[in-house]
Amino acid sequence: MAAPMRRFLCSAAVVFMWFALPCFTLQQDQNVESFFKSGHTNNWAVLVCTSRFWFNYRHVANTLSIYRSVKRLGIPDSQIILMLADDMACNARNPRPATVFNNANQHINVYGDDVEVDYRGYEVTVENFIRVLTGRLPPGTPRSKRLMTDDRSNILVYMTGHGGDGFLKFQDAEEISNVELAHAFQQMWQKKRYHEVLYIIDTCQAVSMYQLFYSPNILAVGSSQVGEDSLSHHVDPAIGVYIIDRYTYYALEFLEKITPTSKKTMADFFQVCPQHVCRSTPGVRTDLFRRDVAKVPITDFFGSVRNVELSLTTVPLSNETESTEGGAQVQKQGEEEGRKEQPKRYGFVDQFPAMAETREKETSVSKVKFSSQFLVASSAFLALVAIIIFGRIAS
Amino acid sequence: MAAPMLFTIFLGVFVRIVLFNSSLASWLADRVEVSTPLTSWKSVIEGITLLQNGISPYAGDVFHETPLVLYFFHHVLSVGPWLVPTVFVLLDLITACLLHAGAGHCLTYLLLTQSKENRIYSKDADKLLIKRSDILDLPRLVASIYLLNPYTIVTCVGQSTIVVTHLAVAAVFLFTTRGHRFAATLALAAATYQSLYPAMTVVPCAMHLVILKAQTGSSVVSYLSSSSIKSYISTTVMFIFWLGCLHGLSFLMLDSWDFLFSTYGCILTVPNLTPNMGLFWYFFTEMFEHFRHFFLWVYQINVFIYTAPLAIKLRKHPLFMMYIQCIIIAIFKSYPAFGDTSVYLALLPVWSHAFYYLRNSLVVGVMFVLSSILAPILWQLWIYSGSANANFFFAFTLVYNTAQIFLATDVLYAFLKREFALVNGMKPTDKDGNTQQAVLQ
Repeated sequence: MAAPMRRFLCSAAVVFMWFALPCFTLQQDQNVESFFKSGHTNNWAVLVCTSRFWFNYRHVANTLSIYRSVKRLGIPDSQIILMLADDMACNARNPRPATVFNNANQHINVYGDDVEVDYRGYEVTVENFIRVLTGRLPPGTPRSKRLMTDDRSNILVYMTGHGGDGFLKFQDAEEISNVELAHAFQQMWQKKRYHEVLYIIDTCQAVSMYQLFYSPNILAVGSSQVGEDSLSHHVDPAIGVYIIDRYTYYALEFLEKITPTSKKTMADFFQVCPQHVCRSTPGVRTDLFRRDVAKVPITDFFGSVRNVELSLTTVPLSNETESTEGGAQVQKQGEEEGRKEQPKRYGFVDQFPAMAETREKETSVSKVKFSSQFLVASSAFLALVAIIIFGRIAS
Repeated sequence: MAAPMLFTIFLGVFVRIVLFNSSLASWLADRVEVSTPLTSWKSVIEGITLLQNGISPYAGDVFHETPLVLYFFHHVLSVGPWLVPTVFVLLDLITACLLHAGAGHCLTYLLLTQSKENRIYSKDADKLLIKRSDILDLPRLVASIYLLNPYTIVTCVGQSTIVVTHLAVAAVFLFTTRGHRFAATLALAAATYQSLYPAMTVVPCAMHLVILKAQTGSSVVSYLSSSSIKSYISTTVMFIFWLGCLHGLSFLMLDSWDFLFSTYGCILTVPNLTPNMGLFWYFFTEMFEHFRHFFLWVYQINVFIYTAPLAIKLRKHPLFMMYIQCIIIAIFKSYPAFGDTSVYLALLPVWSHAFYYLRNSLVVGVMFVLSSILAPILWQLWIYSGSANANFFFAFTLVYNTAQIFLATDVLYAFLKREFALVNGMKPTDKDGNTQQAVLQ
């Protein structure tokens, strides 16, 4: 009976393997997939142009082009914070009033008639930028000026302007340093204000701005290394100024081909402007980012593809609208049943805790207690002083 | 006291009470020329409130008053807020009385010394001699000046606690002239405890006590004899003892040494650069952090360093040295105000015998008047109208301090010239009968 038994066991093992192994691998695949699945549920963008004046036309064109791409790929205006000096379209020197172009062939008016600039003119300051990022805005700030992200938000932060080694110039009046920026991102991380951040910076010596980042889940790309200048692409003779920068020009070329269902990854995006085209060497920082950039779709940051989570478990919701009578009835039932949680009552903490204590003191005269040592010593001292002074005056 | 004296006292008290009851009192309490971060009444109230709420008054950076003064004003306020103006007027009155007595004793001493040295004086120096009637007239003038000086009135009505320091300094002057070592060192310790700078008056105080002690013996004063050294040491030891008592009491009051950082620390390290009538704030506003410590040391040493040359030059006249030191403290202290001039302006008549040789009196007077009028105007223009800037205000602070410096140097020069002229005559001639000129080198 050994041989048929053995055969049965072998076939059982084979059948078992046949069904179990795919299940295991499927589980593993699922584990693998879930490991690489993106965890964000909403996308935001903070686009900052830090320059003003007519000759910095290209910076505004950069920012507005990214704005158009990001909007086209699905991020709504309510989730884009656009900070521009906004002095190009209606500038007295603009030969094409109410327009901003990013190409000499003037195909696309990136200004359009539906641009929503959230921080314009002199509101584009270092303080406002950091307050937007960290969320520490005054209570009356409107929603359009707030970055209301949570810990499942992917944020695209794009900055352009004039920069240097370790700083970025804001509106010719002040600077933001890479230290401040790193600390702002750390504040965001600690306040759980982002899931992942893609930080793009197109300035001279751009890489220096992200070198000091130390918060997790930040992917950073800069258009030039420390010691290099980022160059502009071309002049539009009709407008008279340089109208786009090299890195952003080639990035836009790449982004024009992206659709919301595109399968391109961030690794492709980082190849977008090699040195022979851009004249400066773009830099990338991926050490803080937990996923493999080759597996991150570009729409994770540039688009607004929403991820939907399916859950097969039921979530019990408590009945929050118990009335007091109902509560009493329920309580009686609860007493019968044995256990019912008392409805919790929440109140505000006293605004001035010290006042609560001194309110009792106010009823009596506010007395200060000095130690008895002090009282004895001071009376002795005063007596001595009195003897000396009046003794001397009398004599 | 004579009727004119009573009248001046009454007038002084009346003016103060009238001003206390007008709206001027609160306006003056806020002015930077009158109240400094160390002496302002608002910070005293803040400290008392903190004390009543159980928090250490020295926890923040608002309160810089000493604990015993806090204790005193706490009890004053617990009687009632109406008592505070009365206390300030009383303090001013007591200071005026002390100055009156001190001036009287100083003039008596000067007259005695003059009569002892009469034989070495030249014949034509009669104009420069102190007259016997001065002993009665000048102290009245001193007290009147103190009570009716606009600077003093403004400081009293502005409720600046510098009046306590003035009381202590006037007491030092009085007890030094009388030779009461215990009382003088006690007053000196109180003045040092309150604001650090009067500590340097221990030198002339010790010197004068040596002179007084020696006068009871022989008439020649030697500063290096063993009895003199004993006198110095006992003065210093007593001063340190009283200072230790005061600091120990302050420690016992609040059970911590925090008050040292808030009082002496604030005086020495000048963390608060609110504009005032002094020289520190402007310079340290524009100072780079790198150099701040160096210049702090320079400025603070500058206050104390004049003690040595003054002690050497004025070794026979320690009371005058104490007077010059009062002026130097008022100019170079870290947080001066208009009130710091009160004591020395009041004591100026005591040395009126030297006024013959004053050269800059008009300039000094005009500069004082000008700076007192223009400094508040430029403050208004700078802070409220926005049409001036800090330089305008600081310029008149500089004018004010230059006026004080001119006063100090002028009085010093006149004193020394008088000393020379007493011995050599007002018009010294050489062997040929030509008039010689005495030049201060």
